[in-house]
Amino acid sequence: MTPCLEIIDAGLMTTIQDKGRYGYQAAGIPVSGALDFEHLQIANQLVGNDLDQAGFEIRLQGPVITVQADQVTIALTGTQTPIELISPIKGQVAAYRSVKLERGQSFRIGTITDSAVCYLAIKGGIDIPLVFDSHSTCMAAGLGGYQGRRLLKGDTISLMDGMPQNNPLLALPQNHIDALSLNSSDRKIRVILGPQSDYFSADAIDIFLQNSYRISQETNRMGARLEGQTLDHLNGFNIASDGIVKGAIQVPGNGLPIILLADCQTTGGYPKIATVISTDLCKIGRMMPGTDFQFDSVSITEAEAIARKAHQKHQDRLKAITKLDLNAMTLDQRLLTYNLISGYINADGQD
Amino acid sequence: MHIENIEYLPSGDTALTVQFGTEINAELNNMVLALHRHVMAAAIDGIIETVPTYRSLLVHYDPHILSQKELIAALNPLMEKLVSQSDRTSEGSADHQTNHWQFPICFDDEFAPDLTYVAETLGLTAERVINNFLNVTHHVYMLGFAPGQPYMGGLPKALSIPRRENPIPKIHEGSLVTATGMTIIYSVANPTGWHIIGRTPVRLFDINRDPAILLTPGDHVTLTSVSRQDYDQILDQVQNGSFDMKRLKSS
Repeated sequence: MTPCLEIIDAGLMTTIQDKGRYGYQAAGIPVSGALDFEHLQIANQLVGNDLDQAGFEIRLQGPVITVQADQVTIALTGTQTPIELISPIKGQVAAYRSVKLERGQSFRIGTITDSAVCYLAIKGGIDIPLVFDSHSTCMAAGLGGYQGRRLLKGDTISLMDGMPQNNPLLALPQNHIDALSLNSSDRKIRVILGPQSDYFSADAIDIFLQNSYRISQETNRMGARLEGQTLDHLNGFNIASDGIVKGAIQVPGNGLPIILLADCQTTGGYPKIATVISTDLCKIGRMMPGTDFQFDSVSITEAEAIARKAHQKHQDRLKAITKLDLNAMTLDQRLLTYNLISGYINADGQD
Repeated sequence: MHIENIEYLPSGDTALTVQFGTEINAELNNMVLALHRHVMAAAIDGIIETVPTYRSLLVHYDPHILSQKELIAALNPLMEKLVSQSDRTSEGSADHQTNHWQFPICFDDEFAPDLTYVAETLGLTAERVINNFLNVTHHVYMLGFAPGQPYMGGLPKALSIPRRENPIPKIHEGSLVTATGMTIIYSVANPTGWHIIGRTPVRLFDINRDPAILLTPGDHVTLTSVSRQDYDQILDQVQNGSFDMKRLKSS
């Protein structure tokens, strides 16, 4: 039997995503890909995958999964909510570390409250076809991922066969995990004005930059709808459609900005007042509905310097991932880790 | 076309909009498409892809390889080449072979729920409206909104009708729709704010076909009226994979 993961409960919105689908936007094919691509890379690094391999993107409420493979190595990132082992072994496995699970083990990723998205990487990756060079799910076009849609109860997700699971367990040190958490003092989203900021008056741009906006409940992978002060257009709200990049902030007729995200269409006909800088895209992806934040305008030169610094930080974080230090764990956690893998001495010492 | 009329508009730190103008016309669009081909052919390290639309080209790039300044420096010589070429030839697309496609469209009531409204609004008979769509060559300005979905122009001004006030949540794949003087054939089922006047049995996007995407920006399209019976027959062939797409191409 092909090794697979059986979806017992799919959660709110679980999709398969990699870094995205590039090279086909001229044909109208959206990019898609992980909203928080940095955390997908961290998860992949923790299980020894290539950084851009596809994993599960989990939104707000996670799935229940049963392992139908001899052994799998997985890691959860993007949240500090632990993986909950349900049966036969019960217990909790912290996020930001890899863990090996054997056939028949069920686990749950519960409600996450510290981010809108988290990522589950599986060593060796998921065995699904490449569609236009990517494994990412694009729900709007019904392509990629698992049958072009979000996961549903009863799905069996095939894993790559014959993956050796003899890799060491890895973890990201706690100081790096803490640095990744979205804290309340960091509620700035940096933007570069344009490409159509001239469709708005100076007053409207002041309103946009000086008031706080709230992520609406209607936010999805296509866009973060915002609540707050409306922005008036100078001369109507229709432009001859032009290209859209992730992070573009379009302002439709009702004057409420929408930040376009991974699944957004390739082109659009509303003026775009500004664009979120690449460094802050993951942050927008992680913000829970109801989060308040403020825009901050930066120049392209500043954005480029910020991106270089952030890239270096991300690389340093990936390098900081080391072998899981069993001695630093609590006794319970240490025993659980032993217990999960047959061949280790059992917790009750019978082996 | 003067190079001074071309603007670089910032689209964050990973994309740059090259804008040729604000109007929709074939001349500007041909310049956009020519630049799209030039940039692709130049294979500049750091440029990920380019997306041509009516009157601008969006250049997606990797900021860890190219700064915006370096990107503009790499694009400038291509722009100069393009503008000097457009001075020599009347069309920017002279270096490019365009395909001409012929699409079967069924205008039966069932597939054309808005035809009467469109005709009444324009003060024409439904037959005159249809004939207008059949008699012009439609220019594919761009693909967008959904995979392989063409935005086409070519209608006379008298056929221009505003969008619907209330968009409808879902229309059938293959629907021929019109608004603001433009025409679209829907490549997948989607919401629309346009008016539905016909349907083609041919799939513009089919993931299981090679090529999955039928049209390319710059292509030309003419429409042929087919009966319901012909529509059903072509649909059968499309669905069982026996329809020969080459039949759609005319020289």
